[in-house]
Amino acid sequence: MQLITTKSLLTCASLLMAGICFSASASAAEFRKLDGALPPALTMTGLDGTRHELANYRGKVVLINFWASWCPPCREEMPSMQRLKQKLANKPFAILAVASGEDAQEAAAFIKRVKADFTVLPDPDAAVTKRWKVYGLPTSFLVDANGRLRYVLTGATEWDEAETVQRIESLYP
Amino acid sequence: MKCAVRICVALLLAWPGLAPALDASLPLASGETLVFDRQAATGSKILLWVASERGFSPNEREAARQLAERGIEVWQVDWVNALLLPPLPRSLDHIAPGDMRAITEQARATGKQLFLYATARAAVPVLRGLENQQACVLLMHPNLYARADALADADYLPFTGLNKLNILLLQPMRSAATPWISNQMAALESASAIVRLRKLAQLREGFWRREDATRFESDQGLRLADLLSQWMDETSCN
Repeated sequence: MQLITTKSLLTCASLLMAGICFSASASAAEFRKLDGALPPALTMTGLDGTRHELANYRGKVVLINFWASWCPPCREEMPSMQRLKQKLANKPFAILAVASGEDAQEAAAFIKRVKADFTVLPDPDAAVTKRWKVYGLPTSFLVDANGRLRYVLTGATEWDEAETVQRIESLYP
Repeated sequence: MKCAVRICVALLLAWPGLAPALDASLPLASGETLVFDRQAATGSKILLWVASERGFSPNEREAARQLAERGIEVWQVDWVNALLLPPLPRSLDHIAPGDMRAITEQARATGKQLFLYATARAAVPVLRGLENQQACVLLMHPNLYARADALADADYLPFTGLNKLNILLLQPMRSAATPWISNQMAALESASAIVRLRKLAQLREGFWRREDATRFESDQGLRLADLLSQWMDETSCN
């Protein structure tokens, strides 16, 4: 009985701590400032067959989001990415959503379900994911209008929150 | 009334997830006492199962019970809970290799063929405790990163003296770690371990405990004992 009581207390304490830590980690996704280096190459084919090359987006701020349809936080942030696109419709802004490890069919089926119309780039063999050295999903990069890497975020966020929109707008000259 | 209570108790005990495991304990060199669950069995194999920082889920408890029914003795060790550590992956980095070695030796002393199974960051204390020891190890989506920042090469924790280990690396394919699995294998092989890879299609990490599990993941989670038994057979220890 003594053992059971002790074990129950330990379990309760662990659960309590877990709750706190999960809350902490939920809000722990923070933008990390980058030093403005040039990004790795990104040349991919979109769902409609169009070729996309990051270098051709010079003059626009670009959000590059690595995601997968099986990743719950990726799914959760997608609607806010769509709202962000609408919010910045009058600015030179683009979203490139790289579907890590997924083929065009899988990516298309998912993107239709979430009703997003930004550019989705299937990366079935994860070659681009590896080139960009992405270890967790979602991971997002903000590239400024001069084509320089300015921020990275590992984890999900609400992309249309004022603070985030302000951060993106600060990347315009 | 008494009869109703007896029926309720009998039903509760018959409920698979509530089948009691025996509490066992081991005094550690650190002065702590490790209390762990032991599902005794009469067969010739023993599985020392080390939980991640998330502890054991009902499916994992049930799998241990089912394995014992099949003759595989199972010891389930939850370091984080036992030592009251914060339930964070890095807590498992602080388990003393000597303490891990102590529980491994205790399991080995049963005279049964020893297998170890660890999930996620629990791979770290298991591998550190097995330096220069012979063992068959199943690692489920191990997290061996020392540092993994986007845009930079990841650093893996350094391990040494794994030359007597046969490792079966179990990697759910729906995982951000999947593209990096060859690097993970190379990190283990650089410590001289023999590593084999088993890719798990259509599954995500922690598929046996996910609240958002797909039908397939739920089914596989309920089959954890079957899967573990099969994976134990797949190690090159047999």
